[in-house]
Amino acid sequence: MSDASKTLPHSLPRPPEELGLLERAWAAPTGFRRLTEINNNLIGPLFVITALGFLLLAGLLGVLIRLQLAVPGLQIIDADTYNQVFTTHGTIMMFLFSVPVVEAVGIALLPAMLGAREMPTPRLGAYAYWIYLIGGFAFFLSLFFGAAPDGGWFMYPPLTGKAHSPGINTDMYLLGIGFIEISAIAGAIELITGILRCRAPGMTLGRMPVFAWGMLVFAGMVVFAFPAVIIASTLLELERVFDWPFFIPERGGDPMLWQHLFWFFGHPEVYIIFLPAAAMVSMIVPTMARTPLVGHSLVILALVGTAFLSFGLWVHHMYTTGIPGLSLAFFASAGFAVSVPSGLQVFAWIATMAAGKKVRIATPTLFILGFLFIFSLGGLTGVMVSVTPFDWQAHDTYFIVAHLHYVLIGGMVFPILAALYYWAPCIGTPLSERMGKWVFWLLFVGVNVTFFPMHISGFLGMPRRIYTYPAGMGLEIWNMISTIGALIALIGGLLLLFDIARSFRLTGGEGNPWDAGTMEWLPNRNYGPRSIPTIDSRYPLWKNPRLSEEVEAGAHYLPGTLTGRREGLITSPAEGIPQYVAVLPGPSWTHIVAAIGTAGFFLVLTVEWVVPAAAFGTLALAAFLRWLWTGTDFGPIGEGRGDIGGGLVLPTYVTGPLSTSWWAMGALMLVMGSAYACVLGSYLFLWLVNGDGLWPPAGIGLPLLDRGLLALGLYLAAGAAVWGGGALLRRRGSLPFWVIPLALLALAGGYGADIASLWEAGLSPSSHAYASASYLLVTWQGVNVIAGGIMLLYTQARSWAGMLDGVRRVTYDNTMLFLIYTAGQGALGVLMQHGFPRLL
Amino acid sequence: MTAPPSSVARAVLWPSLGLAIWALHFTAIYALHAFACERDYGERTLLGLPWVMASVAGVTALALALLAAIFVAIRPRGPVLDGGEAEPRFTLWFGAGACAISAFAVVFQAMPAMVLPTCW
Amino acid sequence: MRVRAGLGLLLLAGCSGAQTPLDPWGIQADRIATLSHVLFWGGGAIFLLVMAFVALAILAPQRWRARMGSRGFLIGGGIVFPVVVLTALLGYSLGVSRALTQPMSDAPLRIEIVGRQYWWEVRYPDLGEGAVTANALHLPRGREVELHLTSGDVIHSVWVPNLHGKLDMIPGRVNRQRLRADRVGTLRGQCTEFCGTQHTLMAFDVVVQEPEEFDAWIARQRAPVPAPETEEHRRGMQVFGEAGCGACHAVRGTPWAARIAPDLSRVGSRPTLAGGALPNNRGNLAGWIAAPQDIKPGNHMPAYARALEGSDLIALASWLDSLR
Repeated sequence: MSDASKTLPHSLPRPPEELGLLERAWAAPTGFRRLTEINNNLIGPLFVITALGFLLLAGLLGVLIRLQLAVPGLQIIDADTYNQVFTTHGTIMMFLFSVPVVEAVGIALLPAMLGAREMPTPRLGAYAYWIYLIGGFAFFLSLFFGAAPDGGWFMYPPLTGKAHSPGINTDMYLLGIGFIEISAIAGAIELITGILRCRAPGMTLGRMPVFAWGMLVFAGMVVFAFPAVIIASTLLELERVFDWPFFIPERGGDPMLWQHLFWFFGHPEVYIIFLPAAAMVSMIVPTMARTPLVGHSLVILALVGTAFLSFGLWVHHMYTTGIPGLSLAFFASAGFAVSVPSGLQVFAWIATMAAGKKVRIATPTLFILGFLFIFSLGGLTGVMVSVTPFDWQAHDTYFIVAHLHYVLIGGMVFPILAALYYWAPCIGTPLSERMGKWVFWLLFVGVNVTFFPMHISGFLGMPRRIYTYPAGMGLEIWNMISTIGALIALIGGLLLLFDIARSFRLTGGEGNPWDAGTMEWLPNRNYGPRSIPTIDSRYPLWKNPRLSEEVEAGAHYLPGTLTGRREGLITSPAEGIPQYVAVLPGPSWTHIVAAIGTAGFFLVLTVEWVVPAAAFGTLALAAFLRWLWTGTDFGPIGEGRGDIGGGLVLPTYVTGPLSTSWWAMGALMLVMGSAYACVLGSYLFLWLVNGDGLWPPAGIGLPLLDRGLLALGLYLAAGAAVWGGGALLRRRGSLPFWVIPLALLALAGGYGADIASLWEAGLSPSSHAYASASYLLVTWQGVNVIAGGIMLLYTQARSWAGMLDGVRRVTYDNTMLFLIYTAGQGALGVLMQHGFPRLL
Repeated sequence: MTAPPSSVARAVLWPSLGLAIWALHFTAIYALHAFACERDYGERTLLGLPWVMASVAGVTALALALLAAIFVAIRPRGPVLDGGEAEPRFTLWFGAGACAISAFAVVFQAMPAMVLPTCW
Repeated sequence: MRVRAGLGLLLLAGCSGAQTPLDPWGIQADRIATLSHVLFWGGGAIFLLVMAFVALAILAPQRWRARMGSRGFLIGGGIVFPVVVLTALLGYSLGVSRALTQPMSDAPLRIEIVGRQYWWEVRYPDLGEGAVTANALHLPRGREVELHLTSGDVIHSVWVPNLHGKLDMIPGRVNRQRLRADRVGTLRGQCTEFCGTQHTLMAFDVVVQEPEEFDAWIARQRAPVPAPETEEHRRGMQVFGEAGCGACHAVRGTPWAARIAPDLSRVGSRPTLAGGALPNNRGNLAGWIAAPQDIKPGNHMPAYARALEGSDLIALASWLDSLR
């Protein structure tokens, strides 16, 4: 299909009612009900604006810090408040701005860029936005009640343990931020499914735009990194509330466990932030240079290589903890290796700019040049601090503050600003070029004047996280310069927000002013592109200049709606061969109520109001169930198939590995598996540091083997029951009445035996880390058991309501996958629990 | 029209396999070393070499052999440094490239074990 | 090496100081300073090179740009160049690490430091009973010492940049670091792991002495304090007991031997007070005892302004100041 003269799937003109039906299916609710819309063309921009709001709030906190440090001895705010301010500054920047903003740009642009109408699970994406908005805002408010976290953004115990931080500040972080990580994980699951399955026909992986690759690695990294911080937060919260001594050395715990878990998340986190931004640069540079990206395949390889290798760097945040030098050197070497793919990307951009005829210098280009300057400098100081002995001097000083701001502001903020100025006309009205140049210069100068002197003050002996510094150490001049720079940058930031408020309106796009080559620049409405083209190039709009007209006229695939509802075309992951048409849910209140319930549940738990927490939790659960009931698994509608054009007839409902929900469940299993790996890793770590022959320690017994074997058997039985039930459902066309009750009993019984094996052995979780770790395995299993039980009950209800049969099985398949995973996890836990200490 | 079942393998498996081997190598050498120092293997030897040095060398040789085997098995014909746009060439090229990156990183991270004292 | 250090010093005016890695007083810090200069200059050169390429990519004549826009440039600059540089850096940094692992002697002097919110307990276990002080680290010039670091509460970190890199103090573990001070004088060290409200004011003095002076200092530390000679000092010592200071603070040669708070045996001779927060003199001693929460809010010492009469406070400060 590479010849433009080949016939298109549909003849023109299209019947007039076709467009009307399409518009009706995708119509946005009006008035107050606009809030219920889940379309990515609303959620994406909302997400971006909210993230920029948090950037402003956290940025103001940063300015406050700089004002206090302008001269020695200032006490604009007292020590306690200062500690909350710098902690909140870092926490908001890392959790509530950096990750959400790149995710937001992905949600706003990816469907259009991939030639899709929408993300595959739009209600989930909208839910992720609402918990982020509510939770993030509540978290920020805690600062005004003196309840904000104050242990630094990485919150090391024992400082953050109950003994040294008795207030709710730490819990506000562990619970208040902890659940916002759910938002990122939900987004990641949706992105993986969408990028791999919802592309235009013919868009092979090799043709997929670099930004889609950037978001794919983002999502993959979130799946493997975020569970680590969730587990760490869970462990610390269990220690604080129930006195399970994971981090208390007197009872077998180890503060180092937190650091390993946190940084296993923390280092990939910064690449999670940087790689999508680098991918945005790979989209903007070719357009501005008017030539394809040089080394496209190599750049993709570099993105994925960096993503993987970044998981081998976490201990370089722990170089000063006394870990043996050879271990540190493994991480240092991996750190050097990971610099090669980053260097490759920089040279790819330089080569692309050189390969074009003349690079267009507009505001996006300026921000790209600013990015190259600031990020290269930050990246080089990063290689420096990767060298262990150098870091022994630089660690925890202002040198590191300088480095981290250079890489984050240079490596992410500047590309995001380039992206704003570049893609604004793609989804709405353009921003002002004239003001954009002012914004750029103020920010570029401001950022450098603020952070460059910190390299010097760090090397003159100024540590991090101090509310003042002594006079006479030579630090005064550098701090004053930094403060002045911060004020310059503040003006630039305010000007940017002013420009956005004044110039930007969400209109759906104003054409293709940069003459870019990728598909997000096709005419887009609520339904995305009018029809879905077949792709045979990396830059479809350059290859076929008439593509916009053809798509808009409805000449390509799926110019209408087969079922009268919102639909998306689903393709194969590597080649982009169309496979089926998925029916998508529309607007509803359920995900908003679920978000309110989820946020309320976690926030109220920080102050230990258990009854209101239970009420919020019930509200969330009810909303989830209604969401699932009305918004998923529609079954075959009408004939269950339709002609998308060119004689291609595809089903509108599939089950099994072909279905996107199977893929979403698969991604969820990876998340859960990754979390469980951290749980097992914590168990093994505590075993290792407790010394030979002290697992269990003297006076504490082993779990009861007979209960354990019973649990093992029952878990496996539950898994077998659902798996067998699935086979019967397929063959007989209906679900036998005993399948789900049997599975429920086996699951509950297995779990009961699992708990009993510890409880009846007399193990008390607060006695020693060995007992805590053992109870941790069982507690975490409980999360799966409860969720699995709810899923089983829901599936049974669907069956009774006649919404589940041999053909309409997606709900059952999802439940089956989850239960099999839960059974497997439970079995593994039993083997670990009972086998490991006995085999030592 | 459904895609051949190998599509999933191509989309996910080949691109990740080489780098997954890197991850396993890294986990192995770190775990071996941590275990050795926590349990005082600092003075032990294996085949005449210090225990950690020998075990890291062994794991490294295994990883490099696996990476080389996969590279040779899946590397497609055509330009060495361009994966192209079409399938299956792109994912196979990508998988081979991932093996090359991994091999480089595996060698880098094994080097310290050949040079530095074990549990200092 | 000296030339490079000198150039570096020119670049950063005024960077000799009591708390900077750029003014090494010992062999370890010296090795790291050399490494730092190599990294600064090398990193700076690469940065300028990359920026030059960016500028050329946009502004250079078309012939140059065409060559830069090629696959060859990408491979050369983006793969070959980084691989070569990073391989060299790997080798160099392993060499520096290896050099830092070499012990200089068989029997370094053991010094135990326990970090607590927000002060430092310093002990010399090899030098006999009573070789204990607080908030000041004395070192003999030219002799290798081995610091044994741990914490009594949360994670702290010891950093004396003129001597060596930093090392954390983690409860439940003992971290060891060998170093050797080669110059006589006073340096400053600071806590470099956020440890709570007053992390900012948790510093300590490092006093490097000639071996004979160091031995004399140890002997004085171990000896019981002389009996008070003046009326004011006698009154001061009495107040120390009456006000309950002895419940937390130890003074050698008296019945008070608690380890909860800094050892005050020779407090008068220390360069600073309260973890580097105040210069040490009688007035500051009195001010600290009266209102520690005003100077270092959140530290664990209660205020005595109301509990003590003005004259008693002065007497107490006077006696403590006399302990040298």
